[in-house]
Amino acid sequence: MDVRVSDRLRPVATPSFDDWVAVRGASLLRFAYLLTGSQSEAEDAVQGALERALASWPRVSRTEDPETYVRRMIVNQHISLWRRWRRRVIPVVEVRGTTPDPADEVAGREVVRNLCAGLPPAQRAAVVLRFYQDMDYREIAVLLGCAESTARSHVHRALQVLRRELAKKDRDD
Amino acid sequence: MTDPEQTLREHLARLADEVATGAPLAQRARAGRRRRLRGRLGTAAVAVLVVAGAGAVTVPRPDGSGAPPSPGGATPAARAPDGASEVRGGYRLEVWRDLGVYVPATWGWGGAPGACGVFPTRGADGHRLGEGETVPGYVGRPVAQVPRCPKPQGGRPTVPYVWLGGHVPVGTVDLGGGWVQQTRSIGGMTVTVGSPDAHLRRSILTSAAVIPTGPCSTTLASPPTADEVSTGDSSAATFVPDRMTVCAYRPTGSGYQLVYRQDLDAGAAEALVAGVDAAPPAGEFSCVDASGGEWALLHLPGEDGGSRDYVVDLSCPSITDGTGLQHLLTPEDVVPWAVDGLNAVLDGNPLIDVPGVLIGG
Repeated sequence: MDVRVSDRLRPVATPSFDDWVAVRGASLLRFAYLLTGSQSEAEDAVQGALERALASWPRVSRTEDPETYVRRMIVNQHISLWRRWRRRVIPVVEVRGTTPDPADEVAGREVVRNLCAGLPPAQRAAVVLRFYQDMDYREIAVLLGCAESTARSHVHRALQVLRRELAKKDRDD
Repeated sequence: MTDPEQTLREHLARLADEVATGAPLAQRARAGRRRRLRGRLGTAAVAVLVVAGAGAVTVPRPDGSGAPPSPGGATPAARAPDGASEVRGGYRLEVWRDLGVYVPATWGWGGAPGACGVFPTRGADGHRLGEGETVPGYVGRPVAQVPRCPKPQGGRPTVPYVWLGGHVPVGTVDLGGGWVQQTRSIGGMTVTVGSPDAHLRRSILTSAAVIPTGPCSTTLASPPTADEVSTGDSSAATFVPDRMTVCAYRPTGSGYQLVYRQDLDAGAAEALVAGVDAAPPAGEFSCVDASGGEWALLHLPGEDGGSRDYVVDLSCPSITDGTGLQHLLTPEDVVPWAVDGLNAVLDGNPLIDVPGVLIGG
């Protein structure tokens, strides 16, 4: 039998699952924390995504950017859970009252925390990807599985809410 | 006024630093994965079935009710509102071409009139029956179970049976000793039930119906081909299978016909993907035109809406992925799908070294 090994199947050096998680795990947790706003939910989201990645690790590890794949899983899982929850509770897209704090830095952080907490998950994910991960709108659209215009719209709406809240804070100051 | 974009960049980074990052993520992922796989294997081991309707077939599920199938497999009462078939406690769906019949899940598999070996050869878990080993009943297809036809033994059967597509005239035959054999024709195919239990015969016969074949074409003029359908959100590298449908084909005079169909769960599908990934490539042209024999089409719908097919040429032997690349058959890429009754309808190939599965008959 004339066996010809295809170039595309030639083995290439890929990181082991454990090595890759050791390097990228903290970054994934920070990302998931910004999406979920909770330590336990962040850990659950990352673990769920890593379980899936582990199942297909030979393929995933050969991709150009395994982290994008895992991030997408984290976002999808978060949005999916939120959709199920939304059937019972419809959150209002607005910034809830901020925790009073004399320190501007802490107050600013609380404004952002509350902004994120009040956003629907897709908007929240778009904000995190844009302003924490520094992704452009095309990359965000790919990762969220939406049109680029939708990604822009998500970010634009979140910024509108934040502007209102910051203006209110400035007036209060 | 504070720049909102700058505010977000600054404070998102600070918020992100709040999270503790010491969790043993890799270990937890591995443990979680093991739990999921154990759960799935445990589920599969309890051979009670859910029956999928349009497009899907048998999915082992624990139930334990032991109730016989309700009459009229194709009646509205037997179908869930969304078109998917409902669970039938203790029964599984068997498919021959586009004929579907519910049979007790504890039954094994074997042959039917029309080919050599009209007796049970496999247990309910697909294992080859040993000398003197028996089963509570069996599903027979006119597919040779032995290379040479033994002399007819005569006498009454020893266990109940259902023959799908057997070469049997329609009607009722009194076999003596309370045993009765009844044969119906449905969609041009015969269904035969032999048992002393009239209720069982009636239940099985009335469950028979022509059903949608989903991803498995009933007949093929040429061997199946492997397709890969990607969605905008996925790529070949990120494909995560949701389940697997196994379609088994054998040659006829003019093409190939579906002789068996089964749905398997995500664990089996994931194991197959991993197995093919790890299998040595056979070379893109190593088996062209090699087969006139048995084929299996393995259809894997993905979690993201895409799908992937693998095609197995058992006379090559090789498994071809959606890109057309052939990989050698190995235990890792055969064991996930060569289960249950498939072992009674495909002979396999002595070149495939997977003892007890397809190989060695």
